[in-house]
Amino acid sequence: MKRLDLVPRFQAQLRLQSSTRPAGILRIVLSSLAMAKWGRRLGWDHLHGPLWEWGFSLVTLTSLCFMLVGYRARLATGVAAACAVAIGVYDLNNYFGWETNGSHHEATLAVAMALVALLPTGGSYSIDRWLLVRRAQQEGRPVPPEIGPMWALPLLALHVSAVYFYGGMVKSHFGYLRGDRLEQILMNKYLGSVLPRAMWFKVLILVSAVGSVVLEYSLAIGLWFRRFRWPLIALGVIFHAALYLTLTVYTFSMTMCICYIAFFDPWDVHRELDRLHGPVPTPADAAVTTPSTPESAGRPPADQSRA
Amino acid sequence: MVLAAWLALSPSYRYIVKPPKSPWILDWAMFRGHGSDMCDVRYFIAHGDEREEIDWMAVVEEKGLHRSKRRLRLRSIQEVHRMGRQLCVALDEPDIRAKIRCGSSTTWRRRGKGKANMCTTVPRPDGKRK
Repeated sequence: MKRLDLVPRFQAQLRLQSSTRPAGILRIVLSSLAMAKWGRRLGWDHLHGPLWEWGFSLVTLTSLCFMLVGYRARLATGVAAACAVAIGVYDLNNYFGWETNGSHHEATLAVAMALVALLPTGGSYSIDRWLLVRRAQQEGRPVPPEIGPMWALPLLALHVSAVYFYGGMVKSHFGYLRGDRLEQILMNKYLGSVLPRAMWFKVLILVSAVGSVVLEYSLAIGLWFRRFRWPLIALGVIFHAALYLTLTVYTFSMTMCICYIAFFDPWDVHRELDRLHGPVPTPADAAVTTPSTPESAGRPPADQSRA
Repeated sequence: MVLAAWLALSPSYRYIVKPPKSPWILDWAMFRGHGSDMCDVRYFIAHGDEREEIDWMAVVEEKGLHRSKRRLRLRSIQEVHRMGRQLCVALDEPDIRAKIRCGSSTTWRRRGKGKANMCTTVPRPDGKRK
């Protein structure tokens, strides 16, 4: 029997050093989503309980701010993730009365943040990085590359796959596939207590129900394969845009879409961002493209040199 | 490895073994209960054995029985009967019946086949007729 090389593969994954740019992007977007989701509710004017709630609010919001700007980013991301897990997974949202029966959307965001906390989140697009580059330049050293241990990125991809797979699995019953559950959701959201009897409506519901389950299974498995990745990402974004627009699924949709980045090789993301940024403009380029103002005339463009 | 196993397998543990609810066993059943209490209702005016379906949302709007027909959601047999009695008065009809099906976490369940005259019947709290 052929022996699987799981242990060497696992050790190689733990030693993986790669571009930290995906971690930086995830850090910024997930902290923004968490602030949008919980920021207002954690405002002190919304808290009426014991003193620890106020402390929890202060720690959560402060760590989210630090996570957003990337100052002491790993520590801030870790603390923010712990707070998010307490809210979304350990059901503090029930305690606060924000949710009555847990929220899978908040749990998805919290688990994603916890996994991102395992990445070197301060390595790119952060104050930490800015300070590092400035210190290196002051000391006359070369700017350190944006590299860090990215071993945990596939775990985030696994999280996305699990959410889709089990989301599809719990819908894989006759009642959902026939459209009954979608009809109930649409009635609750839009239609009131009269269901349209038109055939086109029934067909639309049937196609949506079967299509959503097929798409969830496809996303769960297909995103791991380079060949299917881009078409599935396009379908996934359209799917989440439709949910965002019609079913008030806000942070969940955004969380899933940004986590698609975990399926890409970090160096591919890095190179693509380099391609988007383009070369550093010279003073001559700036003179051609920038209209001359009294303030900017003769001033060279900002130094955008990167490693 | 432990993290990967937790992410990949803990939801299946929840669905297969069905342990007591624990926050540490992940659960990705989205929209499980959303709208599952909705009732889909069709009201009829009964003339002997004949039934004439009412566009009851139009009646609700015309007679001002509810502030917005789009927001009118009947979520229990009691609410369906209450609306039935309002329709009896609004339309001045002595016999209005309803075919009712209400949601559950998986599918529709039939709750009334139009046998009860809502103008004279009051449902018990368990949904059965008196």
